[in-house]
Order: sequence, then structure tokens, then C-alpha cells
Amino acid sequence: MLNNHHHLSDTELQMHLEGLPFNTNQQVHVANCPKCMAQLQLYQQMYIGFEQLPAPKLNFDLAQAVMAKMPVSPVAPKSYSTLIEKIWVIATVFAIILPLVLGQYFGYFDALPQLFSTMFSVIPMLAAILGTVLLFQWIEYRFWSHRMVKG
Amino acid sequence: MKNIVLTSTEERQMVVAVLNNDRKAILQMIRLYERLVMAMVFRMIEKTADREDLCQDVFLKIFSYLSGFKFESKLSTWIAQITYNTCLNHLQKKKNLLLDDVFIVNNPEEETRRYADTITADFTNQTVVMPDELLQQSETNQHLQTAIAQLPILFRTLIELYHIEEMSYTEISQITELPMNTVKSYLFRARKMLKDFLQHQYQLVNR
Repeated sequence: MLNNHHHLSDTELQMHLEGLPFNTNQQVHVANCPKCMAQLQLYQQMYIGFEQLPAPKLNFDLAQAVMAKMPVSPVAPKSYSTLIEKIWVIATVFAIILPLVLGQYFGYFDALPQLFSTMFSVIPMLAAILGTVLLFQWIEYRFWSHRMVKG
Repeated sequence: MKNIVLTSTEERQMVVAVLNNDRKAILQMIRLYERLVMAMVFRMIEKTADREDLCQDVFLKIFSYLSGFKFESKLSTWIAQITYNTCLNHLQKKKNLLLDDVFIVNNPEEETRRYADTITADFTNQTVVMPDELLQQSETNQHLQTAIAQLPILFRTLIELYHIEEMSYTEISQITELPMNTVKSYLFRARKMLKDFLQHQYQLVNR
């Protein structure tokens, strides 16, 4: 659609440079109108100019400057996290085996049915606590840590 | 994206290597993305000393938050988002000195009007610039740099991301947290302002 003065609008000229072809009327008009042709060429020069702008430069080596400021271990080293994992596995195995060994030694297996009946009444409460903790951790991970990055 | 052609697998490998404190990978990541970071910082920040500090700060932030990168976007988009927010925070901290800048970021429409007033009164009745009177491309490029520098901060950032870094509307929308239609509308207005500025220059030359 041509505007009141039959010249192409800035929107139409920009849309053309963004890849939308002119319709026949527009093509004819641009070919015969020095003003629209000049405006189109201005936009074309601007688009070419965007590609030719010089890249920004610092007067020092950014990579080296950043490397110099980086802590030696920016993240927990692999060996450290592996060690923590191993400790957890060992602790879990001990938590399972130790009561069995001690039970065998001290002979308290007879009291197990009573112990389990108490445990089952506590389990829903423990599950609720655990669920709440996990929910908050998930919220923190999903939203809070994401926000922090933007700071 | 300019100069950054990494597949998602390569991105993931690089991130994992950096998280494992592989110095070579860290250096590679800086080299790959320094142009993007510098381009954005240079567009948003004017003082040279601030630019130098911010470019380094951005990378230090990138590495300290990298473990939180969830591969939900391209790494370049995430890095550009950190750069944008770091510069924005910097501008807001300097509000006592740079009221105009904060104003520009928060109210681009008002700034558009102010900018238009500074460069020209009214282009509707101007003399027609004939194609053969147009400046050489090299001269245009010089004027274009001047014109971009005079745009509101948000507008020049959008021009940088879309036209120079060749990012998509979706990516720019993620980086700036602006709706996609707003990004398109601001880009249109920014280009029109630039064209008006260039036209003004041609008229000065041909006067």
C-alpha cells in the first residue's frame, strides 16, 4: 500500500531490505520516483555499512587479562567431587551393614518388629519433610540460580 | 552469528571442559566469544576504562555461573544475556552521573523524540537527495558509526545484535527480555533514525 504522496513508506522500504519483495506497483513506483529511489539507496548503503563497521578493539589482550584474574580452580575439581561421592557410598554401605552386624552380635533382632512398627508411623512425616526440602531445592535451582546469572 | 559456528555438541564439550578447569578450553571460550562481549560492551558503555573493566567482569561472571548453564539456549545467547545485564547494572549504578543513559534505557520512546529533535526539524519537506549525490560507502560507514553512537543505548544495542552480530529476533528477545514485537518495532525506529541522520549528512554535503 502506497502512502498519501504515493511514495513508499519507511516500513515498506525496510521490509523490502528485510527480504519482502516489492509488488508490481511498488517496483514501478521506485523505478520512476527519484525520491523513493534515493531513500531505498540510503537504506541499502546503511545495510552495507553495518557489515563493514570495524570490530571493537581493546589495547590489551582480553583473554590473557581474564586468565590472569581467574582463580586456579574456578569449579570444584573432579577429584574433589569424586571423593565426596565415594564417602557417601561408603557411609551408605556402613549404615546398612553395621546394624546387621551389631544386631547379630548383641542379639537385638527380637526387638525388630516393634522397631519397625514405630518406623512406619514416622515414615510419612519424614517423607513430608524430605519432599518439602526437595521442593525448595528445585525452586532454588530452577528460578533463583537463573536470576543470579542476570545480576 | 559472526565468527561463531559451533554445534550444540561442540558447545557442550567446551562447557564440560571449562567446568573441569581445562585452561586450554577456558582460553578457547574467551577467544570465541570476546568479539561478541566486546561489541556489546562497546555499544552500551562509552568510557574506555569502564569498557575494559566490564569486558573482564563479564567473562569472570560467565565462568563463575557456567555450571548453571542448562543448554536451553545457545551459549552465545546466554553470554550475550550476561553481558547485557552486566552493562545494564553498570549503567544503573552510575545513575548519578549518567542520568541520561538510565533514562534512555528505561524510556526509549521519549529518547527517540529527543534524538529526532537534535538531528533535524522535519524531513517531510526536505529536498530530494538524488542517487548520484549519495556519498561514497566509506563516508557512509563513518557517518553510520557516528549515527549509531548517538542512538539511545537500547536502540544501538539492538542494531548491534541484529545487524552486526546477526542474531534472530527470538535470541534478541531472550537477551533483552523484551517482547519480540517490541524488538522489531524498536529496530524499525532505530533504522529510520539512522537513515534520517545519514540523509541529514548528505544534505549538509550537498548544500
